[in-house]
Amino acid sequence: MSSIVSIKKIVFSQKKFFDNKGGFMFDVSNIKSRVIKTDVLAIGASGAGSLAAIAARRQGCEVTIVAKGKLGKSGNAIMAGGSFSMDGISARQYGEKKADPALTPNVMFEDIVKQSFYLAEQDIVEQFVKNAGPRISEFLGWMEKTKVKTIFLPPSTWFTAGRAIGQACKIGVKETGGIKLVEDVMIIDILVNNGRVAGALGLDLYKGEFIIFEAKAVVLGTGGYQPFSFRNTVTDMTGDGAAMAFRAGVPIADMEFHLFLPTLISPKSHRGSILPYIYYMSGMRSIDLKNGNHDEIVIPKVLLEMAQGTKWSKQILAYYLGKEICSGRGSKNNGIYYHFPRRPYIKHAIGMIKFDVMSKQLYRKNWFYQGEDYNWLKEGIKNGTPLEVGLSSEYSNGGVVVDAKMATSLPGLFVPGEANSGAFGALRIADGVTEMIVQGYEAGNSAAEFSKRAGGEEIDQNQVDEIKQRVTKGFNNKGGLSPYKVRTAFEKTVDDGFNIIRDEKGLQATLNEIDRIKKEDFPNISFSSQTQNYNFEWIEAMQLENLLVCTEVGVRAALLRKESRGTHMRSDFPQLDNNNFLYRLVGENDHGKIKMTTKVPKVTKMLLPTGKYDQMMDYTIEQSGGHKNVNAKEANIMADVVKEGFNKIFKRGK
Amino acid sequence: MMLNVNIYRNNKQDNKEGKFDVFKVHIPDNEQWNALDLMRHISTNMDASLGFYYHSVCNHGICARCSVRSNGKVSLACVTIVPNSGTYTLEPVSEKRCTRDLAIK
Repeated sequence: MSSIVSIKKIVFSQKKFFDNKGGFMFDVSNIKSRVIKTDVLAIGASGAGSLAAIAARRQGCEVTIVAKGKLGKSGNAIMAGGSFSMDGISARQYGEKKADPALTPNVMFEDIVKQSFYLAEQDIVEQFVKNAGPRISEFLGWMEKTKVKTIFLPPSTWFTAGRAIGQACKIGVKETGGIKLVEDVMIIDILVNNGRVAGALGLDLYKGEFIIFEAKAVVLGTGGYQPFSFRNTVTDMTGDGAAMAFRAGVPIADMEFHLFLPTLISPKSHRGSILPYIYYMSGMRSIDLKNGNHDEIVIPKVLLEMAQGTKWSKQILAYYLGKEICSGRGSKNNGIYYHFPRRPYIKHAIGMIKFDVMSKQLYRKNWFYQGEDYNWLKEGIKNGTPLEVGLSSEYSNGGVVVDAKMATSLPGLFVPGEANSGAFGALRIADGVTEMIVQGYEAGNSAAEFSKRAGGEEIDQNQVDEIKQRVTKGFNNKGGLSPYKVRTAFEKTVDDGFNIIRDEKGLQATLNEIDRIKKEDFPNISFSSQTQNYNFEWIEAMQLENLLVCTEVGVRAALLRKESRGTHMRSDFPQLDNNNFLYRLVGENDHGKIKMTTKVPKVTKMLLPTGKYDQMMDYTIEQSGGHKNVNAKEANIMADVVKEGFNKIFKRGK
Repeated sequence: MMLNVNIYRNNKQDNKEGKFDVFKVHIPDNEQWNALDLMRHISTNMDASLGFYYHSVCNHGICARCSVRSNGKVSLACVTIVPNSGTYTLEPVSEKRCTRDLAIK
């Protein structure tokens, strides 16, 4: 299919401007600008953006994907561990005989709502459960073409390598055909006119040129926000989508909830890998968790069993490991230690064989994880060398407030995936990969319907000029602060007060410091290079602006939530309080200032509970239900991976 | 111990000849850095104008977009371990595709 987007170039005349001292003054009108027209603009080329583009194209719309990175290689899908799922009945219908029909759509729905600590919008969860079957089934077809192994794990989950998930998205886009692709372009802001979406303004990162996208509908599939210094996500996760939506007047919510996973601290060359989490699921019974003083970290038996058998491990490990790290009992680098005791060797062997089999199947080489060599770790485990492990955030539950159609309060703007909020409330245990696929497709359909119904809207050139002026100030500030230094200062205060376990004093100090950075440091940022082509100082300044918006809302919400819930854990308010806090905290844009409001989640099937738990983890214990919960089996990933590996070897032996 | 890092600097926008800048970096003996760590360290602490691929970076050998020429050999910066001392050279993979310094399109 031929290109479906008309492109016209507007080249401004090159003018030189000088300040009163004869120095060169940067003039934004010197930067080239061009226009791309499309019906539906999908921002982001990971799962949410790709699936939105596919759905909208199938409805006959002209569709453009614009991505900060490259299709199939950008966004957080490639970082996934990674699994995706549907209910067991659907999985059987789609031909997976080993699927457990006891995991009915209703059980899946109830699990997600309970895991969200009842903050999930139940209509969004229903949409998730209902559409997971057809969407994941189609996705599996693309997965097959990647040639990377996908392993089925009962009751109803598939496990594969993150890079294959990215490749499968790319295959889907290519097979659909006719989707225009604009890569390595960062969208700076949504363009709004007459109270609805008119398009978006982007920056071509390599050329340093602006691109005005004229679009009838826009889908933001830009992922989450990671304000911490210790991350396991791609570098793009700077809350671009949520911040852009907020600037366009759309509320954002649940920004206080981040999902932390055990992550490698050192060596620095491998820092940020979630291998410790993956290995925990494999060799858990040979690992003793110890704090910085090498004293055992005591986890109640029932919770330890849950951590070793279900994906509740994400919350349980964050809570117990986080308590050590945040109360001064962590290691030198703010972590804890995995100890691999010399006795009894058989336990090591089982964990190591499991990992060995998994790495060979998914990453082609033994003791590789993602693209990195971990044979040094194999030796360390054998020798009983402790492994220093920290907690880093893999996912932000918060984002743009949407309805079950992925529509926002701004007509023409749709937000699926990690950039939105609503499906998982205070804790995501269900798969983020499923979320991006299912919601991405829904958003694409909604955007296509909107573009057909509502037509286009003219671009407001004044808005474009204002945005250009705003984001190029760093070129004219002379002798100011490096955006890298300001980002470092920002991350430090976030680490100090908005980390895993929080309290009033720390959160307030972080809020004050964010306010100071916003008023004093950020406006004083200057770029040491005047060049526009691949000027990462410029990119970093725009990313930091987005992070500041998202994080301020997150910290304000964390201060207001005077309880512990899901992944929001407060040492000064350890109780879970359904009587006073069973609502979502929403950040609204009140003439450029953040106004915090509340929203009670929509109920469709499960009534919201009342009452209090003195300790939040008592609620988690209650969810164990002696492992009656069908979904509980889901997390024992490695056990099933290795079973399949062993079966193969056994058959080969015959 | 110091590492002398030679980095090729070039800006297509300036139409000037490329040149090498030398940065002296201290990497503690007990630490192991990759080439991306090194470039990030230099840009944050020594020369913010250094251009190298850093948007949409996975940092774990997945996306395969951070390729550089490390001591003459084409490698992914995020999985290339750099020496702690001696001399080390970073160049763009291709002069032709070079946008700025080490960043290639």
